Order: sequence, then C-alpha cells, then structure tokens
Amino acid sequence: MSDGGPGVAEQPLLRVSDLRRRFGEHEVLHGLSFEVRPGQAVAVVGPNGSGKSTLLQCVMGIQRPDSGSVTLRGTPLVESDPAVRAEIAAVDDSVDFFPDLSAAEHLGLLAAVHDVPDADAVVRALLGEVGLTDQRNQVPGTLSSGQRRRLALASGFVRPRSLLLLDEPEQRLDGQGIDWLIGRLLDEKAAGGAVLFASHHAGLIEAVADERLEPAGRSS
Amino acid sequence: MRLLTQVRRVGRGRKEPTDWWTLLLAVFVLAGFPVQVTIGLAAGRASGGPAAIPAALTVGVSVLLGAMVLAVAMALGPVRGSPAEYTWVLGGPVDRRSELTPRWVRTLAGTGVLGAAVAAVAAAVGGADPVELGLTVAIGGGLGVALAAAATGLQGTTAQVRRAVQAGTTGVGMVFVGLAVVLIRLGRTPSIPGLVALVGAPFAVLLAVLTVVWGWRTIAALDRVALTAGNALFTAGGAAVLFMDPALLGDVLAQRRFSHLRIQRSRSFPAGRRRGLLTAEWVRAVRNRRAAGVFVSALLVPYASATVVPARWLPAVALLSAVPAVSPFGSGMRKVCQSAALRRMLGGTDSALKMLHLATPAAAAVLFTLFAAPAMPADRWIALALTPIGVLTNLWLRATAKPMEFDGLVADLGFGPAPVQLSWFLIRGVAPLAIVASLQLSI
Repeated sequence: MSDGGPGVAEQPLLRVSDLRRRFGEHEVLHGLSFEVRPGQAVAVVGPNGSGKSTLLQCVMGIQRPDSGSVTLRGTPLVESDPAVRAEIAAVDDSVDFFPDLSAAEHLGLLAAVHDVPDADAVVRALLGEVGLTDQRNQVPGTLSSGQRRRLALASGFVRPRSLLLLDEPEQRLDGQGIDWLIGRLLDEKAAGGAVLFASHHAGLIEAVADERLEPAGRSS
Repeated sequence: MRLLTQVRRVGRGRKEPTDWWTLLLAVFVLAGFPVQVTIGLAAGRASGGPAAIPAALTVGVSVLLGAMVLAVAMALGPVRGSPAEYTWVLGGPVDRRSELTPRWVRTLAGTGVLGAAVAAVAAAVGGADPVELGLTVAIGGGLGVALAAAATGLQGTTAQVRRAVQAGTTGVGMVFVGLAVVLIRLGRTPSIPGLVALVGAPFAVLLAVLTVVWGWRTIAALDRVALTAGNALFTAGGAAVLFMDPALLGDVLAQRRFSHLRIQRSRSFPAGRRRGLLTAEWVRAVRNRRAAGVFVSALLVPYASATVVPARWLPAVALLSAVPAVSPFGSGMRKVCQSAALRRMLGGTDSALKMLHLATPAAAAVLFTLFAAPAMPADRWIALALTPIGVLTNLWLRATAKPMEFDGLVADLGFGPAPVQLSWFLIRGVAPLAIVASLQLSI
C-alpha cells in the first residue's frame, strides 16, 4: 500500500497482518495485511462475496480469523475491551436499537454514555444532517429501512472515535445523502480520524479513499 | 374455484406428516402440572387446608383467562393467510369467504371443544352433578366459540379498536379477580346460584351464534394485511415452542408492543455512562404501560392463592407470579445481553452494561416482594424474601443464554445419552426457580 494523503500520521492506528478466514473449503481472506493511519481512509472494494464484510467483521471482532492478527495502536484488538469500544465506531448491518427509545433518544443516549459535550445540540444537528428531524420522536420499528440506515450512520457519528468502520454506508442513501456522507468522511479525515469502509460506490470511493484494498489480494 | 381446490389438494399431498404422537406426549406431560396442582389442593383440603375454590374467584379467574385468550386470538389473527397465500392466492380475485371458511370453522370447532373441556374439568373438580356438568360444558363450549368468533369480527376493525378491547377486557378481568379476593378476605364468599348455570348456558350459546354471524360477515371482507398481521408472531411462537426457547418470541413481541408507541417529546439523558443508562432504563420502564398492568395482575395471584392454597405454599406462589411481573422490566437487559452490536455502541465492559440493566428488574422484584408480603402470614416472610434472588437469577440466566447448541458434550448417566449443553439450556431458567421454590417450601 502506498502512503496516504498529506494529513496522514506515520504511526498506524490499525494494523492487520496476514489475516486468513476460511468458510469450509472456501478461503475468503488469504493472508491479508494492511494498515490504517490517523487521517487516512481505506476503501475495501470488490464484488459481492469477495470478503469485504468478512474483513470488516474480523476487524470489528465480530468474527475470529483463522490466523493472523489485528492490532489497534499496537495492542491486539479485543472487541469487548472498553478501550477498543471507545476508539472504534462501527456501522454495519448488525447495528441494533432499543425498541422503545426514539431516534433522538438513541443518539442522545450514545452521546451521554460517551460524554459528548452539549449533547442535545449535537444530536439536533445530526438529526438534521441525516434528514430525521421529523422522525426524531419515532421508535426504530416505525422507521423505514432507509431511515433506520441513516439512524445507524448517525449513531456512528454522534460519539467520539478514532477509527470509523463502515460496511457499505451508501446503502439506501439518495444522491444528497451520498454527498453528505462524502463531506462527513472528509471532515473525519481532516480531524485526524481514520476510516475503513467497504463500498461499491465509485463516487464515494473516489472522493474519500486514500487507499483501495481488495480482500482478494490486490491493492492500489 | 376448481383451481383453488386443486392447489389445496396438491398442498395437502406434499405436506409433511404431523408428529401427532409427539404432540400428544407433550400435551400429556404438560397437562400433568395442573393435575398435580389439583391433587395437591385436594390433599390440602383433606388435611384441613382452606376450603374449596370460592365461586367468586372462579368467575374472576375465568373472566381474566377469557380476556387473555381473546388477546392471543387477536394477536394471531385468528384467521390467517400464509406468506405464500398472501402472494399467490389472496392477491387474485378469490372469494375470501369460500377460501377462508374451512380454516375458520376448524378454529371455531377447536376453541369450542377446548372451552367445553376446560369447563368439564372445572365442573368435575367442583363436584358438579350430571345436569350441572352438562350446563357448564355448554357454557364453556359456547364461550370458546364466541371468543374465537369475536376475535374474527375484531380482525376486521382497526388496531386502535382491538387494543381498546384488549385493554378493556383485561381490565375487567383484573377487576373481577381483585373484587373476588377482597370479598373473600372480608369473609364474604358469595356462591353462584344454580340459576346462573341454567341461564348461562343458553346465554353462552346465543352469544356464540351472534358472534359467529359477526365473524361470518367479517371474513368476506378481510384484507391481506389483516390476514397476515399475525404471521410473524405465529412463526416465532412455533419456533419458540419447537426449540423450547421463549426468547425467540422476544423481538417479535417487542416489535408489536412498541410499533404503536407515540412519543410526544424525546427525553435527554444526563452525561455519564451510569447516569445515562439508568435514566434510559427508567424512561423505558415508565413508557411500558403494559408492564405495570402485568405487574398488578401478577400481584393478584398470591392474594388470590391465599384463599385457596396452604400458607406454606404462598412464598413459592409469589416467586412464580413474580417471574411474569418482573420480566417486562428486564427488556433492556435482555436486549443488551443479546445484542453485541448494542454493547459495542454503548461502550464499557459487557458485565458493567448487563449489571446496570439489571437495576430496573431488581427494583421491580423487590417491590413485588414487598407488595406480596401482606398476602401471607408474617412467619412466611423469610421464605418470601428469597423471591428476588430466584426471579433475578432466572432473568439473568435466560437473558444471557447463548443460542441453543445441538451438538457438544454428551453424558451417559445410565438413562441413555444426554446432551449436556442442550439440557443446561433447557433448564437454566427453570433451575433457579425450582431451587428457590424448594428452599421456600422447606423454610
């Protein structure tokens, strides 16, 4: 992998070494190694079934790789470690909600437990950004799948983090939503945050990614 | 019509045969519990225990049970169309009445037979003569049909109407039980005059006829939404029974319960993990009005039982009734225990998150115990004090259960091979209740 953009730090935040994951006879990840530095965005690309989500889940700690290592700031990444949870904000299909808290309350609760200053204003602004202001008092079960997806994205942005993991964040977003997402991820990089995201959206990858990674083995 | 008949015939031909023997065995085993309770009550009566079950309490419990049956029937349908029928049959120009009538008639017949059987058992336990037995069976059968037919009629109404009926009938049932308990504790035990059974039988049959007419008119107009609304619950319920895991129902029930929740103004939470999460728990508890209703209903059980069972049993009765009373307050804990994604979002350690979410059910368990204390003599309070331990251990073990494993260690204890993990999964919720109930009975 080549070096990232001008704002990229030297020390890697996330290091993945020789990662292997096999499902039966089918090896999805074969000895994958890469690094993500603060201020850098790495896009995981490839066709369906090429191992993008598997890679992200191994990094999140949801799946255990057959071999290889994932370290965060040089320490082996353990999903249940509170320090890891404080540093990583992940948004994938497994994002879950309380059935009896509203959209605004979910974001407010996340802001509260992560000690976000001026939480109410942050939540209000974020709801406006993702277009859920009118749905702020609805519980997740009454939101459409697209609205739930936007709430999930907002849950990743409402809290402090060093590394943002996103699995196909462009899903169910319209053109305006994609533009918002691009702006958000560029801001994330500018603020020194690292981003690892899987995507099929050429425009999003082009605008945000410093590196492209193909789990099948090739990177550019 | 000819095409539909052919489709049904083909479907029947390809249907997996039902394992009726296993089902009958399960019914036989499960039916053993009420039989044992009846035998126990009879033994208690013989050894100078409390008198026969008071008539007022019988009526109150019957009304409450009827309300619960109506609620379940409305939640499931009662007339349902499968997802395949939704797409391939109900979307076409099919006469709903001719399509749905066979299954509706089967449902009515089933509930009628069930109602008659329950009434027959109740009459037999109460020592009714053959005439009274016949009248009671007619009442039970009529009400069984009426409940299913009324639920069908309500299936054609709006969700708001159904919720109002459910709340109203359950409330009336609770008032009946509460009134019966108060009357009995005041020393007044009104009996049911024989005239009631004589008038009740034709009344039940008339009610059944009227509700069947209502249901018959409704099924012709049931739309696809009404016919498939209960499918998710039915499927999850089937899976929960098959795998003996009530947790499989949790998500569907929560979805149904909160899909109509109207929040006027979202709450803010104080900064800090502990304060934020505890406030969210409090908000959820206050918001869940059904939980308060279940709590009060369950609290009636030890008071009602005090008029029927020996005092020595009452702490164990309180323990068992505390389980459904406390369970709704553990919804946050179950969610946190079952969702690793939610724990990742909230941050902190798994154990701290789970313990924080145990606070609300713990408070509910302690309150239930305190409120149940006046139902029994003071010498049973030490045994009663064990109730929160049993309830919370049960809740914790059920919430933290990992998905059922069908492989793993197999132990041969002389009765044939037994899968250890599977066995532990099945008893992990029941075991603490059994242990604590045994302790309560032995103190």
